[in-house]
Amino acid sequence: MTEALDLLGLNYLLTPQSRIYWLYLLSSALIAAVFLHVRPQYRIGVSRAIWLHPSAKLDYMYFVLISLIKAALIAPLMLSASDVALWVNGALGYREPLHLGHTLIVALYTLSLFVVSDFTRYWLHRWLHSVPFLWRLHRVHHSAEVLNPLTFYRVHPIENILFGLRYALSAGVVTGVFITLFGARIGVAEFLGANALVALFNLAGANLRHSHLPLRFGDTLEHWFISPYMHQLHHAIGTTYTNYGGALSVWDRLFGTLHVSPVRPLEFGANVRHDTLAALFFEPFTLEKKDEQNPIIA
Amino acid sequence: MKSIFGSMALLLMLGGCMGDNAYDGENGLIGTPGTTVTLEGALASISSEVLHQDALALRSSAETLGMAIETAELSALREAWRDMARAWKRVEALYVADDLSQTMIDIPANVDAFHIGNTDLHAKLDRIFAQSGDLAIALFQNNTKSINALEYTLFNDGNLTERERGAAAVMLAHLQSNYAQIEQFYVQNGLSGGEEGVGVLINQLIDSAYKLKEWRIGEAAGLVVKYKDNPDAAHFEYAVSQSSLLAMRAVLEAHQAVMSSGLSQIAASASAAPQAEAITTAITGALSMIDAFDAPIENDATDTRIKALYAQINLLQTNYTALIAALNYTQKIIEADGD
Ligand SMILES: [Zn+2]
Ligand SMILES: [Zn+2]
Repeated sequence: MTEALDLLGLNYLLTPQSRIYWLYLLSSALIAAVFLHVRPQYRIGVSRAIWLHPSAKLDYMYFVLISLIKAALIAPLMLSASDVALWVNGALGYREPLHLGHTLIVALYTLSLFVVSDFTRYWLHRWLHSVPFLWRLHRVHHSAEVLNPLTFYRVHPIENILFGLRYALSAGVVTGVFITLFGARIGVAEFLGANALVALFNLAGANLRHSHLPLRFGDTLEHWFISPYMHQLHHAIGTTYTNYGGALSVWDRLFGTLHVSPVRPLEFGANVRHDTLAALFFEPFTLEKKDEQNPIIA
Repeated sequence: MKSIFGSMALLLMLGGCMGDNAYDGENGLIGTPGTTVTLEGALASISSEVLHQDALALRSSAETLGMAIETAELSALREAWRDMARAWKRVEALYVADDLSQTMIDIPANVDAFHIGNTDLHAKLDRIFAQSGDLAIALFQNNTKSINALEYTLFNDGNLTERERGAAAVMLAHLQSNYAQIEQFYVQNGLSGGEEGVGVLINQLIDSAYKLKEWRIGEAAGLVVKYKDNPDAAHFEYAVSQSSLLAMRAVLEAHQAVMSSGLSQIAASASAAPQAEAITTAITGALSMIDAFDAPIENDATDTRIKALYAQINLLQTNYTALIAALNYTQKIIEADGD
């Protein structure tokens, strides 16, 4: 039974580590409700025209299929963070653990996992835009003409593998270093059963990143965190080369890709159309006439 | 917009705290809700069945030796010392008291001079035995009253002079007062605090496995950088009494006892049963390798079986680290999403 749910991707709703865990969806819905109450002009953003747009319908179908592929093909073969951690720990060798208070160790480890993972996420995402072949894969995500929470999962399986490797390496290296420093006394601060910082990020309306509600955090917070509207700017034609960040906007700021702006109407999409499931999977491998590169960068 | 956020955050905090997985700083390591009781129970059982029992056994082995020192033949004293050494190695292998209380940090160094304070110990003792002054004054340094000093006193040659017998009594009194503190400590304290308690315990096991491998095996056999290709049986822990294998066995048996009295159970409750199984198998393997020696290990530090034993303890150490990684939360997520 659970396996059947796994295959349909419905287990994501019950997994606190996943973006569409029911509580995160609920928090985003509540934030959206308040937002729309204050800014009723954006109600069009949650209309049937958006939910039932062909691009959205394609997202829903793709979600089921890609969940199946991930559960059946990618997850079983994926390099695990603990294997990487063991390797790193072995390479660093044994030393007597440092004596720090447990709360401090947990705080440091939780924060390091979050920050390092967010950093590697930024760079992988940036390369997905700047390396021509990777951009063809990542265009699968950007060809969405309307955005909804499931657009998050509209990602080519090869990109999934890259993100999975990135996670295993980041979490594995951090964990290996922390095991070397503190041994078995490491632990993650959890909230709702996930890394507390990941949970807070998701609760802060992460599902509105892929939506038509231009929720901003305000200039001060956007100096540090990527707001839903900032990710929408990343999906918008003309500003795709900005705001690669996941949760933190620090990387965009440091590496010159930050784009903070007042809310304006945006048009989403990429320089390619994907109208079918087959196109999403196979178009990246087909020969193209000329625009193999991101025309915005080229 | 900011006010929207403030009220939302408050609402969600309240909602979050109602979840059964809310972080309480205790059971973050063990992901499954409702295992806190089992975890505390398992730690309590390790504390009472192993830590406390071993401390009691150590005290009673010292009492037996104390009675033997009064009158018994040297051979009986030697046997009693071996029993006490075995009991001490168990206690030392699982010595978490220093992590639980600052006041308990110095005790192992008071008892044991192996690898820390045994330079010139034998010459020092020879001088003291040759003198005639008050033994309690002559044996003022901790290492001259250590279990290693006592070993030398009983095994340095084939007989025990009255002065040596007197020295043995002084040494044992010193050891007994340290043992008493350990026992007293474990009467009142044990492993607890969920995740933190498990962390302290596993750290100790890894430390013990590491020192067994590097100090007790690798250095004498010339397998570590410091003594690379320079095997010397005199570097074995109890070279004087040829009891080093006995000490290794006691360490491993202590590890085995911890696994069976609760740690395997803790691992299983955190979906790390295979890792616990690998540890148990590595311990059993090492014990049978030790059993395969039909002569004291000190007879030949170049025996190829020592290298195999070293590798086996290395595997044990790695398996403990694998247990940490498995208990840890990261491996259960495969974050293979995009952006
Ligand atoms: Zn992108
Ligand atoms: Zn996106």
